[in-house]
Amino acid sequence: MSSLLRSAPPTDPQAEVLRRFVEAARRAQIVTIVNRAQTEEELGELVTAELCEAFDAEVAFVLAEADGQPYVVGSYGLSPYEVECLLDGEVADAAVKADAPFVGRTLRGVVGVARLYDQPLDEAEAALLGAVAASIGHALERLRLAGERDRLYRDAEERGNAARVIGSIADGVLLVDDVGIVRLWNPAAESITGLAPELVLGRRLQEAIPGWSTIAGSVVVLNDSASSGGHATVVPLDIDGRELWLSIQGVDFADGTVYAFRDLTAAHRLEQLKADFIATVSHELRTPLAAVHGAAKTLQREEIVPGGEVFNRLLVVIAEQSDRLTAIVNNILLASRVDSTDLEVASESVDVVALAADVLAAARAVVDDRLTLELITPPELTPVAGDREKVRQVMTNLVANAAKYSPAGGRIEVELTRGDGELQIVVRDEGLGISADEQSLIFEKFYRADANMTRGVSGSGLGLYISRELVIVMGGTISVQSELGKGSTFVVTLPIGAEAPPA
Amino acid sequence: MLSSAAMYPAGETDIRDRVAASAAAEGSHACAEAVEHAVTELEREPSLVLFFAAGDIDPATAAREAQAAAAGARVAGMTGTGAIGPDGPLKTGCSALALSSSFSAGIGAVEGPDPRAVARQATAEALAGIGDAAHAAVLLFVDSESGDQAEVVAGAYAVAGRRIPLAGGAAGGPTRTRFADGRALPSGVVAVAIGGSSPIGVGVAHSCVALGAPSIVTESEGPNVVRLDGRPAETVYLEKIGVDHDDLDDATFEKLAMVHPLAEPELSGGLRPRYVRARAAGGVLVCATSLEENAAVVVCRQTPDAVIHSARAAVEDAVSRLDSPAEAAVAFSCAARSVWFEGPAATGLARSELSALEAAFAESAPSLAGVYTRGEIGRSRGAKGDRNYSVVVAAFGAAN
Repeated sequence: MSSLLRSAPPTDPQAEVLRRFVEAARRAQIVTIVNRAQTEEELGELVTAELCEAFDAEVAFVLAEADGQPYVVGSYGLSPYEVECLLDGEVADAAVKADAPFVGRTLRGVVGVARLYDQPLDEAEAALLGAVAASIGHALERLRLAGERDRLYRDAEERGNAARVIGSIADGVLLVDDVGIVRLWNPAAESITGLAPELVLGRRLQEAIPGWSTIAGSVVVLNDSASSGGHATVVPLDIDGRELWLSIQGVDFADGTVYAFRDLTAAHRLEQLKADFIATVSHELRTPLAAVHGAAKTLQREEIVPGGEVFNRLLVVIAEQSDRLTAIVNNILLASRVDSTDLEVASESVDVVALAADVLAAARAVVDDRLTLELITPPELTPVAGDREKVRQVMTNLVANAAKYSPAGGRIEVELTRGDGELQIVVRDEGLGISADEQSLIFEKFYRADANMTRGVSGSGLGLYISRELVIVMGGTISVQSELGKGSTFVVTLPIGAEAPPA
Repeated sequence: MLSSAAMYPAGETDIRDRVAASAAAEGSHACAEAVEHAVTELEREPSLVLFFAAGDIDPATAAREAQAAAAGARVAGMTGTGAIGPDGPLKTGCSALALSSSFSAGIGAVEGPDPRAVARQATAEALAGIGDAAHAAVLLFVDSESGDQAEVVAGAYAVAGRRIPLAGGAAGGPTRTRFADGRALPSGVVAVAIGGSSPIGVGVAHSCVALGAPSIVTESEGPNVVRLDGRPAETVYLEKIGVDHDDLDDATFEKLAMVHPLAEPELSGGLRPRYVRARAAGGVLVCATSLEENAAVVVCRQTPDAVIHSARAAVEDAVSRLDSPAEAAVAFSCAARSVWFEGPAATGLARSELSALEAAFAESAPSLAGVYTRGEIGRSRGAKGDRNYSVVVAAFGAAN
């Protein structure tokens, strides 16, 4: 190959016009091919083949540069390695050789053709090659930008997919950057904690999540996502007075820490209920059993004469404690029934005045004259449509509860009122009262206001729970108003039919 | 009928060993007879026999018989629209050229869906058979219906490189068959590498004359030229030929197109003819190879003078690359150049073309065989070598 330009031979004007026409067409043709290429590889393949044809050359190549390193985009007639050899083994020298006639500069590299038999390009061919080189340079830039665009699209798509996954999973995900600012708070995190993203994102973790400082030291944080074997920590988190039990684990990565947490509050509550159940049942059963056991042992003694006073009193103890055991077991069974969803509600004519009178009469038999029980009803309260046994159970529980917490000499009122489509049952006592904190808890299963029996009140912790569940099943509501030391008032509102069916 | 031509006048055979001989035969066993006679005339152990069959033959039988008659030499060839024998063109029959062991030979025969890959593999196999010969050429026998011939050239060029010339063409005739060592290939590529101690020259010339000013391909889809100069391509094409297209049926159009190719003007001033195979709905011209949009094309016409002139030019081009008189030559001539089957005038043109070709060799009078093809391959410079309306001559110099 020669580095000298060959002068175009003298031609007649008509031939020169034709040549220029062909030159322009060739240039447009190559540019068409260049612009059609969708990848660098395709560009290299198509354009070098066309360059060989256009210049009647044995070799054509396109070089470009990436990250400061030249490389062969494509070649025809020689392999990329052979092209490097053609350029004396140094692709970088191609830039120097751009002054030679068989190469042309591009914006990002060099395009060249090589011909055997010492056939240098003439001036017109060199000009054409230069023009083609410029087009190739633009194309390389276009493809580079397109590649960059595609990469960004892919990144965005991957991020979008990741965001969709994070957004749809049930576990809360929390991402904190390397300076402790919350950068991601997925919908599950919001759902679990009740904290809206705008309250959390962009804030320091300790400020964004109340109670975080308390649990931070307990949360296990792994070093990287590849780590395994770490166990999530179960911690309580107090958010605005609401106690959440979370299973949480963190993973450190280059730009911060990601935490994943799961709401175990319900599971924790269930565990608590089980514990309460065992404690309550064991205590409530042990007391009457001990009494029965003691009475029976005493009856075995020789000095106890059958039919005698002691003998008869012990039998009464056994009978009463057996009744107590029966009541406890019945309550447990009833609590189990109300937990199931197949509890049916009857619709029958209920004389609620008579029903309340029966309940109070039964209660009087228990409390004797220790308490005053009074029924307050409006005149001519006609029977209503409802579920007699469930209403009876609710009244019985509320009256028994009032009696249990009322001191001797106290008064218990049961007041019935009928409103528009509803019956209101109010059970009012002058007992110990319930603190404001406990008022929201007393209807929970196994909850007992005096769990340690400091006030000498025993119970299964099921009465108010059963009452609430039965009221709910009947479509009504139950509430309590109370003040410590000033008694409590339970209000039950039940829907009733307009006309009571015949009794 | 049997004819033969020795490479040297009888008086000279005592001075130098004969290295090639050609022969031709007609009849039901033409291939075997032509091969056998060429081998006999060679009077030396042959290394390679090339044969070209024309007319209605049974390819498998021809392949088998030719191989059996070759005295253990490698055998390759193909069918053509006609064959070129020592005594002139053959409408039916077979021509053969035997090369002595002064030449080394390798053959690769590959079939497959990718013409570039097929040609690459076939050429590689062929070149492996000639070792590191001082000079070499590769003959390519291809199928016009198995993809773009430019792809075949690209595949062969990738292996052969820029110093080994390529020659050949696409098989014609009723069966369009290639032959390799007793096998008949209905498709694919047969590559024949020939090595020797003297240069092997390949010359190419076409027979087209431009009609009027060039046009621009303003819309194309691969080989389909949809619009020229912004108008339906067929309309522009026929206008330049000077034919009213309203009265033209498809058969007439195709006959007209056979002698009126499109050509791409080269920067050097030459033309690269592109065969127009047919027309399609919407004024589309269906060409034999792809024409890119924005390409300049010129409508051409073949003339008898151009055919004869190009035959001479191709020989001169080939011989110019030799450093000694040609001892053997293989010619691949486009069937459309002589419109071979179109009556006495065409036959006369074919004879004139062949006479011009032989005359161009002057006193060397090499052993000659050849074939009329459906697309030619000729590359000695540049990287491209798919041709139409051309005659390609591969000339083998005297062994040193």
